[in-house]
Amino acid sequence: MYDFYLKIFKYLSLPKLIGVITWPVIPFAAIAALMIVLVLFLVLLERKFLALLTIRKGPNRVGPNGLFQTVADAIKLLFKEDIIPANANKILFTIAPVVFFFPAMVVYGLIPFAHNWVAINASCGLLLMLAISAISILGLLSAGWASNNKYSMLGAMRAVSQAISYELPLVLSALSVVVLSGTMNLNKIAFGQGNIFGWYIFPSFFGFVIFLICTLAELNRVPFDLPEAESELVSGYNTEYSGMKFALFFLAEYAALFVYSALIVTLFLGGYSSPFGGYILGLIPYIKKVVFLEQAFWLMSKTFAIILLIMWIRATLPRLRADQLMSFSWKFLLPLSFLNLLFVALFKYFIG
Amino acid sequence: MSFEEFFNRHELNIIQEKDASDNDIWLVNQNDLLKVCELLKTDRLFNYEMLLALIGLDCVSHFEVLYSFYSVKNHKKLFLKTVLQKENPVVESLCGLYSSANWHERECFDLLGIEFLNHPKLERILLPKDWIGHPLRKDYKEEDERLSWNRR
Amino acid sequence: MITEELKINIGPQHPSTHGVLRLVADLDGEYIRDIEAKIGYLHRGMEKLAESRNYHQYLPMVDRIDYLSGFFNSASFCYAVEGLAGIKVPKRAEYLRLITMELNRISSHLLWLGTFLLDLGATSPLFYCLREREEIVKILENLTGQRMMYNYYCFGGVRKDMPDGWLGSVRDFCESFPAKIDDYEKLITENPIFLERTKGVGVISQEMALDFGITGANLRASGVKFDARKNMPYSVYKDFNFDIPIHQEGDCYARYQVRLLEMRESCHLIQKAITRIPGGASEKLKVKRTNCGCNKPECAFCGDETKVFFKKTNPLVLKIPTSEITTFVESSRGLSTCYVRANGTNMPDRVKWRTPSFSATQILPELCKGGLYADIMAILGSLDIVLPEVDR
Repeated sequence: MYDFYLKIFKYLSLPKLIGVITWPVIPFAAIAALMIVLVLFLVLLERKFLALLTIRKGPNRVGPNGLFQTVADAIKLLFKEDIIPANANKILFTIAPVVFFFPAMVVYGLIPFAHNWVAINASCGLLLMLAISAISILGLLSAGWASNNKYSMLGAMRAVSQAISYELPLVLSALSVVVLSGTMNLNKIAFGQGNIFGWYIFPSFFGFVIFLICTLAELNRVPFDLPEAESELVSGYNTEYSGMKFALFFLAEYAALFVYSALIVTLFLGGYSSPFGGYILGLIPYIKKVVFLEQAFWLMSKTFAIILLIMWIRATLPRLRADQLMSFSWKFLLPLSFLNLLFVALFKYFIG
Repeated sequence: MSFEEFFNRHELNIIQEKDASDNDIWLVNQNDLLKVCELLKTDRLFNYEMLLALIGLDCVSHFEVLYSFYSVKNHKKLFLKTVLQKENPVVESLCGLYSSANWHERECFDLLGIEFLNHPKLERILLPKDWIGHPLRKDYKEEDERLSWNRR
Repeated sequence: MITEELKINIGPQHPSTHGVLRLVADLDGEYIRDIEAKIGYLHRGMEKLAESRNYHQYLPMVDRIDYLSGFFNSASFCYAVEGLAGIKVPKRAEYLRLITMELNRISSHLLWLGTFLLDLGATSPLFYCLREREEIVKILENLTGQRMMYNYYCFGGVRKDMPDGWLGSVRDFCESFPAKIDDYEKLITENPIFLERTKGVGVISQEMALDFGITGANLRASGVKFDARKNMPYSVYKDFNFDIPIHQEGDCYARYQVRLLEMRESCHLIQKAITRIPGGASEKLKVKRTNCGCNKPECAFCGDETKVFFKKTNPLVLKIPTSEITTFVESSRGLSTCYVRANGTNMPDRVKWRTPSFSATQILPELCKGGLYADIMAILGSLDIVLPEVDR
């Protein structure tokens, strides 16, 4: 691929240096483009799917079947007046959405979309991913604080306590996968799971469940959406935000949704591996080179299955109360994740 | 024992009447009101645990307050009526006996101007705090300059 | 660093509260130290308006005191004036009043259920409840011409007879409805999150309920068997044999269960009333009346019992002598009483409404003190408070 790319520059009689410099940028540009398209699509998917579950139709006016609804929403938010409350901390107020949005965007580079198709092939990719996504909590806290609003402060404090409590079971469940695969490199973890019987969901089933629950808590989704509970706090930490800043909060949530779902799929459901072991495209000799397309297809379909599951949970369950949330995490999930780790370790030692 | 003997024993002067749907109404003196209500709540003969409503009435020459009691044990309802003077109507509050009297008496004070003694917090409840006058009175004329937009 | 108490203002406009209710809470972290309810944002002066209108002009305004259960307010005012003026109501009209009141009870409870769960965070059941409520509202629109402020009762009966096919549509609805309640029960009743949020929350003891004058499903969930349909019977409830569901715990979960059971009971009641209505369905009655043509008062088809009013009252002439009356009606939220005092003219002297939500709002601060902030929504939702009733 690299030689092909350099050949283009030679054909256009441009200096080779530009090709050498711009080659590493291409994955990131591709990922940024993909992220934007995905987020736009996800917002619409959520509205349409929730409407299906509540016997309605979602948005269907803008574009064919409502496809351009999110674009219309983004344009509307761009045109809105950017209000900063009078006594708010202006610097923190402006930086908070950015701090919230960036980690969600950065970790897109760590997901393996196909074999060796990772923008950042770090040897501790899993650790990096979990650590970076934890930074967005700071953005949340500063948003609540800088708004100079009691409701936002309450929402932000709840969100931080919830996020911290659910980080621990999250990391411990991810740790069980590390034990099973022996590496933290996401590419190798996905490659190590072959057909469906090798997927790490089977030895570490409780790890999968715990990881899924903790994902809901990290994303501030129902049943853990107390920080943005509409009926109690108006809108929690993003009450005072309008225009593009609000759009950043909104989009960051959906960007993080995709990333966490892709992480679940990579860790527990085989990543880009197909459940049959081999790839259909790999059998045909002439298009063996494009087997990465089929791997990307498997990854996307599994990710969207998990995303739909998460949205389904949103439509069904009511909200947990703050103290019930905490006790659920500390008294139930944490001991269970320890037990899961122990079980997986024993499994790896005796059977592995 | 019958009601007359009961009233005589406790030295109460009560007149019994009936309203249009054959419910009992007792006319009670202002001074005896608290004593009668205590008896209604505690005495085994009556056992009226619930104070359902408190109705203030502006009859042009005097004020009246109508109390509506209900006994869940005996499935009986009862009305009590007291007559108050026209200027400065004052009556004892029932907040010590029935907690439901709290807001009902506040509403009565708000709309009719009847004052209840020993009420924990007698202030306006339905109208704004700085409203002038008591609207439900028959001689109420709205003379507040701040509401002059209303008269156009 | 010292932590202080936070004074927070919930409402009056808020996505959650059922109307314009303002709660001023002193928070200590998540715990509520003190809470005060301030009402009066929806005060329309319904009682004062009655003194400058005659009885017929006031009757359409009565529906709007609690717009979600308009039939009950209308019924209590109609019974009051009929009791004062000595107007008799034919049996068919009473049966129609009963059927419409029970349908209104079901639709009010459905809306309560949807908004209660919406407050707790579950967004889907609202749409299912509104779907059922839409069916009821369509049935009532066929009958009265209005979806919400029905204005159907008049002094002496109801305004007009049911249209053709109406009784069949009510029967179809009642046959399909219990299955829908089963659906809600499957989704919600055993849900662990719902149980955690409502069990043991907002417990009203029997003494507290009687002391504060709580009536309706809130009282029945605390173990007191008091229903105005049985204890102070009005309309034709005496002829029917129905259950009063009660529960002993007095928490939000018990109130939820009692209201679901009440919905089922109302459905049974409507089904029984349909079979017993004098004259039967209107299309058959018209045919039988034409065939019979005897015009005798005892006849089953053209007699007195099959009319919907005996004599329409004249608004200019209806003057009621000095007397007073109080009527008690079991509305969907509790016991609703109407006190009417007449003074010989064609305008009432004083009308007073005692509404159940007034007492429920009074007890709300007592239940919330010492609890968590997130419990306010659960308690407020389960008490079924509708603000137009509170403020009148």
